[in-house]
Amino acid sequence: MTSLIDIAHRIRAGEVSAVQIVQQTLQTIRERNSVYNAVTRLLDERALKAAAEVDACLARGEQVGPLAGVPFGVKDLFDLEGLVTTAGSVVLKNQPPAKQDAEVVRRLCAAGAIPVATLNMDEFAYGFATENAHYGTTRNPHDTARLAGGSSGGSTAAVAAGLLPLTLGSDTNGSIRVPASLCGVWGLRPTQGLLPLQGVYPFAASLDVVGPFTSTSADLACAFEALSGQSVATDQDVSGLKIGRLDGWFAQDLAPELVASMDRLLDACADVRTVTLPEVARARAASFVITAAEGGALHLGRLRTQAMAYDPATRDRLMAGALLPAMPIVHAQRIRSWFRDVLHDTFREVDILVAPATTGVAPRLDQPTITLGGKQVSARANLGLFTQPLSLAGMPVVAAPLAPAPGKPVGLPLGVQLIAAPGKEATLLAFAQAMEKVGLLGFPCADATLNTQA
Amino acid sequence: MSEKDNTIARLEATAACLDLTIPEACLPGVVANTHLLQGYVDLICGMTLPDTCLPAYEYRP
Repeated sequence: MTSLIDIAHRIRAGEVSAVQIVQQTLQTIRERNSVYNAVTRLLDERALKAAAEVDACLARGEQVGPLAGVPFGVKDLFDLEGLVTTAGSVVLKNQPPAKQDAEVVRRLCAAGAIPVATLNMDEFAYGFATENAHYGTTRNPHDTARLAGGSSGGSTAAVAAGLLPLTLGSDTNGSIRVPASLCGVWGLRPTQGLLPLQGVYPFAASLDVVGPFTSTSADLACAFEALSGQSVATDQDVSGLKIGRLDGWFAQDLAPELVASMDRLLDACADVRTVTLPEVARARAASFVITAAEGGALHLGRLRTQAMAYDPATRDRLMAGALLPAMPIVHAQRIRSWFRDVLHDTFREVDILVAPATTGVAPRLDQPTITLGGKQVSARANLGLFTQPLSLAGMPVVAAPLAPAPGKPVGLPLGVQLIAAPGKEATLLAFAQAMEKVGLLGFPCADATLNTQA
Repeated sequence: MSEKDNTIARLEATAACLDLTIPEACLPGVVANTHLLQGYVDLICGMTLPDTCLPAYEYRP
């Protein structure tokens, strides 16, 4: 699968039709998805009809949108007209079909893009693994014996495997950034509140954000423009940006190859300083507690009557969250206000903060743990170590894949978070594109590196 | 009464206030997650903030 910019260009230039692109995409998914289990439903009829409309518009010489004919997929929690939104569960299967597309889906369609598939996730987005008791585990396309990460694992695996050039996911505690990092794709968690959540099944409403995944940073900028309506200047001079490398909490237990790749990235920046944020452990704890409480409250009604229909791992966490007392939840929201102000102060001194997205490469499916403080701990619960505290502050974050070390085997993907002040997505995307151009960010698609060791 | 029994009794009392019955099969998982959350609650509640630091109900970063 080539980039979405290339696909859109070839369709507009008449080199290929939108119908051909959609047919090829559907065929590729049918042939290859069983290896990854990224896709849950295909939308043949709708997709082919939309593609034919794009081709008809072009044949009449009419203007088409910037993404005309580009196929995309959505995490199973975005409404698509006529389909039941499962949110990765079976307890919603008897809900009525959605009456209209989610607003962000509508925006992509208005730009000419075509939804072709829905994508796997952790049930109700509560997890970092995309191990779903109902719809199966999504496998990492770079090594199918490893986790894809979650909860938007179907969305990242589909891009990493080259099945789709563009997908949508959601991020409450890291569900865009963790799987993007483990699968080696680009992801964007936009500024809290920037993109509408209408038609998106909630998890922890006060932390939820939606965003895109792509295989290049230029594609990510293009998708963001369509989703937000904002123009992203790609020719910004980024050489004068002040970069802060997050230390302390964000330097713990890092794999040596991750440190080396981050060193290479930051060595290319002119103005780099070290930044240590205070009380990061408490910020992460606040994010954890807010999520548990809001998620538990959302599901309490169904937990009274259908508890055993939930994925056990999700159910037990939601129940524990529903039973939390009020005081720590309110206090967590106060810490959130305080931590936001800390970040605002930090961004008076730097333009971009850089932090790892995870401690290392994707854990193995048969050993789903990571090492923290010398101990093996659950990956599902702890992969958000570096993403959860930053969710609390609501700043925009680009999840960027680090480029493989020059002269060495490609290996498995590693990722960083690029964080900026609210509304500064354009700065992040310009920096990302500059670093990708010089070969420090960006990871090859898995069809070039696939390792299917069981 | 053991610490675990205490936790279960407290959880079941809270659940009853919410008209929720915790199925027997869920109890071990709910207890484990409650202990995990309690660690985070302890961290949160150990941080003193000025009275003027308000909860982020209308959160705008």
